[in-house]
Amino acid sequence: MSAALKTEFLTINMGPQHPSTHGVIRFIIKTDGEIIHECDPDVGYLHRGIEKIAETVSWQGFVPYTDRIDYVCSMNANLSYCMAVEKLMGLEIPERAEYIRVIVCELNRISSHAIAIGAANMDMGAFTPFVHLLREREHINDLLEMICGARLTYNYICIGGVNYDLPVGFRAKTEEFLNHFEVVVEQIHRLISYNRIFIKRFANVASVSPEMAMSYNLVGPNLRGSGVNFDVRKAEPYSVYPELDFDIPLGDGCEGTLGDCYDRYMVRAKEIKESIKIIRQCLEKIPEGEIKAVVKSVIKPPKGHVYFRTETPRGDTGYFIYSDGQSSPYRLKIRTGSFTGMSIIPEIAKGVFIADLVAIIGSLDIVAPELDR
Amino acid sequence: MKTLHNSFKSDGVVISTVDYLVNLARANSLWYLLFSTACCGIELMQTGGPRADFERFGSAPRAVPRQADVMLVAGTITLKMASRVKTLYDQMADPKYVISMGSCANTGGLFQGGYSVLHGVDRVIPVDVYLPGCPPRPEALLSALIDLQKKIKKEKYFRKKIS
Amino acid sequence: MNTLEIYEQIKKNTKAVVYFQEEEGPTPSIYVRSDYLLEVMNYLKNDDQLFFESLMSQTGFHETENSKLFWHLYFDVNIEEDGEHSHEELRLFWHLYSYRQGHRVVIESSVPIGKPEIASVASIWKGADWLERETYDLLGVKFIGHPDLRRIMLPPDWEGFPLRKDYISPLSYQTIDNTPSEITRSFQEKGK
Repeated sequence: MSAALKTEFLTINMGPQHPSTHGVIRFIIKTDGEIIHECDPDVGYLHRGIEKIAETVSWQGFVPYTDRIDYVCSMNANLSYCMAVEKLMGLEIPERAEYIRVIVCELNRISSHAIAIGAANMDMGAFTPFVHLLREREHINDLLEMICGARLTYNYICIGGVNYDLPVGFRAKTEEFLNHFEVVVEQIHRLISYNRIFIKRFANVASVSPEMAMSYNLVGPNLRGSGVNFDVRKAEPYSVYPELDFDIPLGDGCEGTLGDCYDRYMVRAKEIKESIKIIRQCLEKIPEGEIKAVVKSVIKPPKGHVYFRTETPRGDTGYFIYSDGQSSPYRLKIRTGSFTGMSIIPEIAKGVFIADLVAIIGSLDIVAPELDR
Repeated sequence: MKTLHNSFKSDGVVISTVDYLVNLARANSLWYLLFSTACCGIELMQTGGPRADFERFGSAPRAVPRQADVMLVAGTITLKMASRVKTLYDQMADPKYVISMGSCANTGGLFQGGYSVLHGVDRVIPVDVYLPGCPPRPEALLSALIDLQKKIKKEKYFRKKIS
Repeated sequence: MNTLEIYEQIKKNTKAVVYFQEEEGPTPSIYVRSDYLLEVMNYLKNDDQLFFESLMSQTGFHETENSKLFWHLYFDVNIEEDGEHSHEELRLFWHLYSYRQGHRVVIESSVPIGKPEIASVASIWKGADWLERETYDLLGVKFIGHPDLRRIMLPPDWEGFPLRKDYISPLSYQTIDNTPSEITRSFQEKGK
């Protein structure tokens, strides 16, 4: 005889403060035992109103705010904003400044991917890779502190070029760091990527097909993990990227289905190697010259709107700027990669375990300030 | 205590106050709650890393407020988050302390022009040590912890309070 | 294809009322009257030559001085009733990109501030869901046909739309007193 039990869904709150290090995000989950039936993200716990503050500060005065939008890779965020304003004004940048910009942005890409991989592993319960990568990140912080004096929020790239020149001894120290770091990347691969437990937790979880990725507008490593060959540095090139030689790693479903969490993780791990190649080429090719174009102290770009995007570690960050000829922006909107990554979670988190939800958030590489601004 | 080691001819007696011994034990094992909202959280993680080691002071990170002694508020607090900060503070067991880390937690920082930013976390919970910086260096965070230890070592329990 | 060719295609194959704008900034844009928006967006997604698979961004702002005033020429809105706000409007922008063809386009529209309603494209591109919720939250534009329109960034009991130009920051929220300190107020006064 089979008795029909009355069951109902349990609503749990995975609250704003929780031990994974991605920031303050809240999920309201309806579960049936351990399996998720419905998942509703509640964001906005770090909404600071940066877009409204932009309407009251000057054009150059907004650069420190762009640091705080994505503090793990501040140089890239500075670069996006400065290039958007330079496109609106039609300004030409000296070549030495362009090469310095690419070097610091690629160094920041390595340190951002280190945090992404380390945090994803720490959520799984593996503490060792995180502490190893923190040690390596200290070396990168030292290099960037040599240039501009700050460890985390740099405010180094400005409208018209960069603020300070490379100091004496920078090139030798960078090459020493790159030689040391290539060995560490191999160690990390042996520790994590080919580890049976890690593969079992990440492979075949929440796979995203290419059509779904394009419709939800996923960007960056999330999109390339689903097999779509698109990188802003190759499709709409900017700065000196057309003269550099590098590859775009894509996800290929080597351990499970195409577009699962393991693919997205492997794209990030392979991108670190490509960044090392780019930095080496830039250090060879960098010319002598000026580091800043001649810009007035109060700039007033002509009236109009522009939408410009660059490749940051979390995808492409697009800046929509509308200026009406005054000394502050009239409207400034930032469209970040974490925002679209978060909007796909209600769709792909149906039918997985709660522990897999933690793996999904880690593999999509979401940081709260980019999400909320 | 180090000078007393290996210095008596036979078993000795040490006279001290209970306050001193209890405070010594408490100040050197402060467990902190992992609560970070923004950029200062990354510097908190780096302080726990190998170079500026937080754990040599006896501090270990805890995920649950019931197990923690000190709450390090690191990052901007918005109006939507403020009631949750109060809930976390109420859940901690006595005696509890709060270190406010960074400009945003002290006064709102560079986001004071925003419409949804709380002007300082001391509008909802009482704060013991304020640490300025944007973000403060790991060495600055360690000096804030040492200041808190000095404050704890001055507390007295057994003396009757003059009311 | 560049924007002028896309504009010609839209004029040839749909019945929409569109205008080509190139006076503002480095990129030209295509202005669509707000009641023809869904038809134009459906055509842009499904046509073989254009094939815009993704919506990159959806945004808007509050224009107080030089509104386009197209809407009052074609709708049955009485300007005298709307009174002092008749020169204000909310301008909206959609940025589209095509992975197959490699081109992009900017679509523009505007709604009057007395009646800020426009059709939602969430049924065409799934990524428009959260982008439209954010525009509703911060600007107050209602998207008709959106599956679940509610506030996303601000708490659900917040009043007002912050990105409008006449918004004043609140001094307290629920039971928390959020008046700025004396030093902050002196900076804000100096800036004015």
